[in-house]
Amino acid sequence: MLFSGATFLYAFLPVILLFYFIAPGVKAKNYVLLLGSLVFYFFGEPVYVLLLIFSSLSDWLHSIYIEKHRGEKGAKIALISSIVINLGMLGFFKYTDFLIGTVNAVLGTAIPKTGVPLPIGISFFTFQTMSYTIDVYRGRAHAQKDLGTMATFVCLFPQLIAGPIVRYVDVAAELEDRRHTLEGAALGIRRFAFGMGKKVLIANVMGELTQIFRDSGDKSVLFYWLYAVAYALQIYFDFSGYSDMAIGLGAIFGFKFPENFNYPYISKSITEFWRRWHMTLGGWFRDYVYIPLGGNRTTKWKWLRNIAVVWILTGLWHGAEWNFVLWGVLFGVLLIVEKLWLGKLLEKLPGFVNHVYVLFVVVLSFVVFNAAGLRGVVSDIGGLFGAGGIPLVSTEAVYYLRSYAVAIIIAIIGATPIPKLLYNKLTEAPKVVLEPLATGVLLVLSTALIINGSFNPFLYFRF
Amino acid sequence: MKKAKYILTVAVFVCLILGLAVWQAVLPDREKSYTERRELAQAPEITVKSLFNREFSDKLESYLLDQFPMREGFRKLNSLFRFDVLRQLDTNGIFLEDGVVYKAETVTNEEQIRYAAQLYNAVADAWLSECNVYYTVVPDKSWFVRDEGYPVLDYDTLFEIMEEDVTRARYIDIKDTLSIDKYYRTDTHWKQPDLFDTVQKLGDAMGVGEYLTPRGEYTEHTLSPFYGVYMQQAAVPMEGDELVYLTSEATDSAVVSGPMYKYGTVYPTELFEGMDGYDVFLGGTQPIIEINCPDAKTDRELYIFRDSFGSSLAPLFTGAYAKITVIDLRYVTTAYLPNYVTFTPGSDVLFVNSTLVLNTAMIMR
Repeated sequence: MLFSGATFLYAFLPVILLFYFIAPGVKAKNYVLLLGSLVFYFFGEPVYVLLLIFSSLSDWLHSIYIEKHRGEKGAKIALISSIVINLGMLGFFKYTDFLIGTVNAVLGTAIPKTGVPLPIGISFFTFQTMSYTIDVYRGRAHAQKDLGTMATFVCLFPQLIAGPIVRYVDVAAELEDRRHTLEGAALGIRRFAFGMGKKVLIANVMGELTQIFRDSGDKSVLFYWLYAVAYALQIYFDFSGYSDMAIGLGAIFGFKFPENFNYPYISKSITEFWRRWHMTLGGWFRDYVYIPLGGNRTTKWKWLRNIAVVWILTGLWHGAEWNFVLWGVLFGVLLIVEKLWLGKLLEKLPGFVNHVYVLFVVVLSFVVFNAAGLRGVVSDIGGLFGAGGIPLVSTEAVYYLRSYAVAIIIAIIGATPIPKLLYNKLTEAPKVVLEPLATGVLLVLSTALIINGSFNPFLYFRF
Repeated sequence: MKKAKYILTVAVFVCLILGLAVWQAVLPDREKSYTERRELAQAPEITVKSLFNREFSDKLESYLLDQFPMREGFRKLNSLFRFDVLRQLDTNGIFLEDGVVYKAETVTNEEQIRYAAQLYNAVADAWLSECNVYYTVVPDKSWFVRDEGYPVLDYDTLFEIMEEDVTRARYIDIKDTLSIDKYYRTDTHWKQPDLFDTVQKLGDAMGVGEYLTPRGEYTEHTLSPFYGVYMQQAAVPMEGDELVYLTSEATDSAVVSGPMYKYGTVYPTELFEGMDGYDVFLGGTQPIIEINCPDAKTDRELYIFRDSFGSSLAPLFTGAYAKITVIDLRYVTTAYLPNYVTFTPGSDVLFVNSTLVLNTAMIMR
């Protein structure tokens, strides 16, 4: 079920909101959320809902055991067991066929692939459950005694399938007791509506352009660049729009989810970009991989190794294909280079040059990200620089540049803090009308585009 | 002041989400969308199987989208947003130029065009060796804006392939008889009253030019508003066209029949209110139609292999041919033709398909 689908917006959401606010007390509300979340997941993955239940049960049992045997060897064994189970699930469903394909390609074997479909959101919920058990082991969180509450955390539909990656410690107190205020609901609604607008009115429109490029038989250098820019905008508005909707829904239900994006495209270095892009994933890898490996408080070579490990894993987390590994490695290398010497040089350069550098790298990186394997990377990156004798300009490229120019400009401005800064300059009086009006307009317009049956995938569902 | 803002925001949200959900629940389901020319999804049946193979969830989404309250209004809003806010040049692949609606076609399928040419040759070889075989190609509307920078077919390639590959039929070029104002603004098709130059050129080439009913002997009949297929696909808010059909003594006396044709006359006007107003011309999609023309000035026979453009063209030959057989290879397989049609030696045969059909020719069998 998509947030930007009619089933969610005009069937599931009204019903769950109704039951949720009728239900007395937090415990009952949690059960409404749990049941609703299972229905939500069941609609997209009927069989894999069992996986979700198993994951909840497994980490609930492991965490209780760990807490009971804290300081003992058994706690460590339970932690390892929990991690093995979580990574085992992730490995089996996400990476088995990738591994088989790689072995076949390298050794020339013909091992048949399993063809097992990837459960939606498995990368998100396994990371959440792992962080929970690790935090319990580290003593940063108490094991949740109530299975229903634990399952509510794991299955919580607003963030279940595309993040942000909410750690148990972020919402532990709210799972037990939370306040539902008019302000919380209104701000949540506003955030949800803006997220919906980002997703449907911008990301989907950019997605149409990338699809047109893919289908076109009239490729040119201009068309490749148009595609690259459109895709960079699509993925940002798609993912940050989804995160906004998740955070907004969380607020309506009384939760405060962590932020996931902070205008990444205004960054002046790649290091800064990754502090602003998919912040909950970066934080997860920092706290559960990079620092445990020794972080930067170790020898230079180990430090470089730690960065390499994190970025290969980051690439692989995004997809079981070599282009994702390359994408992660690219950022790993750039981060190392920035930390070693480029960062100091960037500080001396004008801000404009820094922005151009970041945007150039990021746009290219997303071309790598969206390519069909390594061959696709070579073809797409080559196309950007005229490889294969393609013309500089084609009729279609000019037409679609003209057709999507306003949308691209709106998207570029929307990816900066400018609209928010302008809005914040207004006094409170016009906002009384503007905010509800904007909320309504965004929902109605988004509904219009959804009904028209336009392009509507969520890119991050596959991760 | 902030409290008022919060109350209003929540109220707007609840009214929209809950209001539309309730409206959708109580709104009677519609079977068809006349504007989109398709049947609308109906409430899916819940079974254990459909729940577990995701058929139910997929069908439920389609159902809710198809049966959404004010669906047409929302579709128009989408078009307005794209054309007037985003300033897009097209929506749903439909673009506007000087108040005329066009369809963008980005892919020229050379394989399909070659298939069409080979199909013409194969049909001619199999059954038409003793007939006079001709073909013409109807340019779609985008041909007239091919140099304006819109994504259109590669017409040079298309016409070249046809001229090179069709070896068993003589080409009659009608492009110079047509202009954009001879097509409906909102639809893909041409206007029957503006086809006299075209019909004359075809008639002259086939040797019946002198027997065609002159323009002055036709009576015009108007049906309106005619909302064409392009306008409806794009949900563009604009005025409809007037659909005009022509009658003469020859068309009035013509008797029309066919395996699926139940109307008897050349112009079943009752179909104007149906899914496609253009169906008033020979009933729209029909595999085979036989038109017997007692008032024709010759006893010659004509076989037209056609798409929907041929529907409005065929009646204008009723004054010149005693019998016209109209065949649509999209709806009847060539292998079965002998079961329904006997080709009379010495007859004329005309293949009439538009560039759009040639570009997707594998729908012909």
